[in-house]
Amino acid sequence: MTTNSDDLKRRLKELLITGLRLQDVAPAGIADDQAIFVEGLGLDSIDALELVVLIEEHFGIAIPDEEVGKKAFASINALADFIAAEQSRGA
Amino acid sequence: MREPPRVVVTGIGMVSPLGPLPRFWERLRAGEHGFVPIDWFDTGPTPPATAARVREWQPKDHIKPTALRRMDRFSQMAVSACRMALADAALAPSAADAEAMGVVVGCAYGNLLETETFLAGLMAKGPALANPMIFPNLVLNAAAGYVAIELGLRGPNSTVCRNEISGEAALAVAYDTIVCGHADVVLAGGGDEISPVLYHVNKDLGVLSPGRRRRGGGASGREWSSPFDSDRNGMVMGEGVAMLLLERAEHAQARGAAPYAELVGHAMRSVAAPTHLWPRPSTVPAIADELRRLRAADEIDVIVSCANSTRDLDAFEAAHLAALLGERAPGALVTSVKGAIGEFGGAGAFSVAVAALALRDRAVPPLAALRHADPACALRLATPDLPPPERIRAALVSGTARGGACTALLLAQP
Amino acid sequence: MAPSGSAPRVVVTGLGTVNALGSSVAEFAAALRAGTSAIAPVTLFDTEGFRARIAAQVRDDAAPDALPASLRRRLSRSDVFALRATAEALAESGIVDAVAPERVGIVLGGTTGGMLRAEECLRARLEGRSTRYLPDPIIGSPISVSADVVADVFDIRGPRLSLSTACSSSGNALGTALDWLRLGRVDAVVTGGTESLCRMTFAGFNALHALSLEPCRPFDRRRSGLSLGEGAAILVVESAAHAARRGARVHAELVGWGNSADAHHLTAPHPQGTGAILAMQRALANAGLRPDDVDYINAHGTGTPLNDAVEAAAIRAVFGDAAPRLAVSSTKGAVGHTLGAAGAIEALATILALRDGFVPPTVNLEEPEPEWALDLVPGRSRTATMRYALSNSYGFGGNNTSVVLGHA
Repeated sequence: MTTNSDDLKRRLKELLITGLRLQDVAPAGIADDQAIFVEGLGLDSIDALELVVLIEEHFGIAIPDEEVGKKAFASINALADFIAAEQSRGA
Repeated sequence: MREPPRVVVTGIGMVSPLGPLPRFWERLRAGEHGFVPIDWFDTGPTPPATAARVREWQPKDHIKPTALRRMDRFSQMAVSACRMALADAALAPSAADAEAMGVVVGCAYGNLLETETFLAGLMAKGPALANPMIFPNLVLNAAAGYVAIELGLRGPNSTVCRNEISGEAALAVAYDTIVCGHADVVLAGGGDEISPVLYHVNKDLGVLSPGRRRRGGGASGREWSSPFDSDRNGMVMGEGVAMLLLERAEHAQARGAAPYAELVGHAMRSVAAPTHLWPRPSTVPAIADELRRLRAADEIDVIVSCANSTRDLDAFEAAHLAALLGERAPGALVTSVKGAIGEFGGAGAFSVAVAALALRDRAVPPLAALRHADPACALRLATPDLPPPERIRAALVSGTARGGACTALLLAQP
Repeated sequence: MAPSGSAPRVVVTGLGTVNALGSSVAEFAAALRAGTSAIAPVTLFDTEGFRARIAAQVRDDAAPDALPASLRRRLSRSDVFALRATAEALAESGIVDAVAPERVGIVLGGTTGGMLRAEECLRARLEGRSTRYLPDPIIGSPISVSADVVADVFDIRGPRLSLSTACSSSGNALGTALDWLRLGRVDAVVTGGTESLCRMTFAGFNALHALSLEPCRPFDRRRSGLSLGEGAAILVVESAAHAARRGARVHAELVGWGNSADAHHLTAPHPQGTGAILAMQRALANAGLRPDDVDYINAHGTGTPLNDAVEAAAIRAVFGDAAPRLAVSSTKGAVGHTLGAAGAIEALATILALRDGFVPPTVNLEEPEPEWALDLVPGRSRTATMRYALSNSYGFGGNNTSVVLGHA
């Protein structure tokens, strides 16, 4: 289970990097508990919308509104937890 | 009306198939070209297989990573060229300057690459998965918007689309912006980038060298760009962005800037021509009258023409320029940049840059590929064997677009 | 810059339009006064899968009759709108008989150009129904083509230009026309803008969650996005002296304009409305007017949460104590957000308001935000004699334009 979770987090970091075209950032450079939408990564509201699309496309999970999105996008940990929860609910 | 303000060119920056300045100018004067084999997309089984691709440009030398990731390639070229133009002009704008500084970008297609990506994604995956990140980049003025954001410029901001003369038109608009008092300093220019869609469409239309035999393509079937050549057989695609810094003369003087040239003025007229076709040589735009009102109109020693190695445009330009110059035709030297950097919507910005450089250095870049001048062309063409001219008092930039819009910009010694 | 005493006054002598509210200026004017909305389900293309499925679509979209077949089959939807609006404007103004062709200029704004046709041809190739890109729709896609087509059909041979600054495109076109006349480059200008709905813009705004699921409610507390629209508006402008000499009917005066860039973000407005403020201030200075000379503002007012809040604040910042006395309305609830044509269609609405003495209402506005303290004209139009008005247009890239119009 730990392996799956680490796997998922790594996958999410890679998705963030390629999907949002982050420059000069490697997965190792994003901490699991780091805030995603704060100064450090320079992301904005359009990136948030893009991330919603990427999550739906790659995991088949829809983020219904801004409220849910804010919580889910708080950090890689939060996003991984959200996806895991949705997947077990859906399955 | 009281005397209008004078406008000068004080900086030039570019991303081009001959590299940035000063290498661009050195290479152009030496008769080099920027055509390379096309190896970044599939051109199919038939020619052409060459284009002039931007080189010696690293976007991250000019743009920070957080900004770079969202910017499309065309916008990256525009922002880079603007930074270089400002550096060349030795102008580091204060906050007050930046609030007033204008930007005018000219292009025909802009960000066609991401347009196709967005549409392909939409069609393959449906609306719910369409890409919100690239959609804002699809407006033609994204580049001018990014320039404003990156450089903090809040002055008048415009984007001009005038097909093949988008570059010339952008300079004309920028000139008017200063003369009307909307701004004292404007970054103006333009360009376009190569895209596979445009390549295939132009090829199908038969406008790309080596053309099609039935269109009287050159006897050799050779793939080349040689404006005004009797064996020319079509244009070769190119790309790039050139941006010039235009300033009100007093503003430049006050900060001790040394201008390349004065942009004396311009004339824009059109001739009747079917949309998408070059006008016929028999049609003449009423540009001469407008041009004659400008200082130094009688002192044109160099012309940078838009001639692009197509049979139709070069024939029109030859007739048009001969009519414009009248008896002075045999005197003025005529050249074109398209033999070196190819044809693209905003290429005229490079023509204006070259005119400014020619005035500063008393040098005319040659039509290096020219083998046999078209006998129907009565102009004095700038062949490589000619010595540098004794003087260049004024330079004309002539632009003509498919559909018949024409522009003439006049530059003179500052 | 305030115009010097020697810069000529410029007036509007011809009007033409095709949009979702009307196929002529008279129809458009009547619908504006009546407070009608043209926002309805889209039928131009399949909107399955989109969150929002409505827009102000032009139903009467046929190409003009008397055109050669070779031209007709290449026309984009934007070209058709431009041709029809120009025909109306020129017929009424009589300018073609009065001025040599090379002394008439044309400058139009637009954003999508021939994209609707280009999409279809791209889709054919992507789906494998075609092995090539059809050249015609791609070559016909840049926005410059509408100006070429109009110039060709009406034999306009002066300066020819197209501007594309997203939603402020045709506001900038009007301003450029004014500059050309002040500089004496031409004797008359055909100016305005044209725009057509297409899947690309619909999908793009949909992806940004910027579309309202129900018809947009500019300035309303419950506003939730914009509703797209399409169409064209064309004005014929010339110097007042020139118009007087030939006895032309004058609809309004084109008094001044101003433009700015936010230099902030490609889609979100500057939070303090810096660019919007600069554009309004520059326009007023260019017109030689003070804030309290203005009676009406036709706002950009898209109905997005951000734009309307920022614009309201910017108006208060520029107009100060004069702000509560202004009438401020958005016509986007009536005719939709017509993107590259918005500046022109809304300038036309403003001209009709000045000429015919009425304030168009902000259609669909029921509950304005009280703390804005602006008269946002909810509900119904009202009669009013007005001297000067402003038309605001703000576009992607942070491009802001304000045009000043005056009673004739």
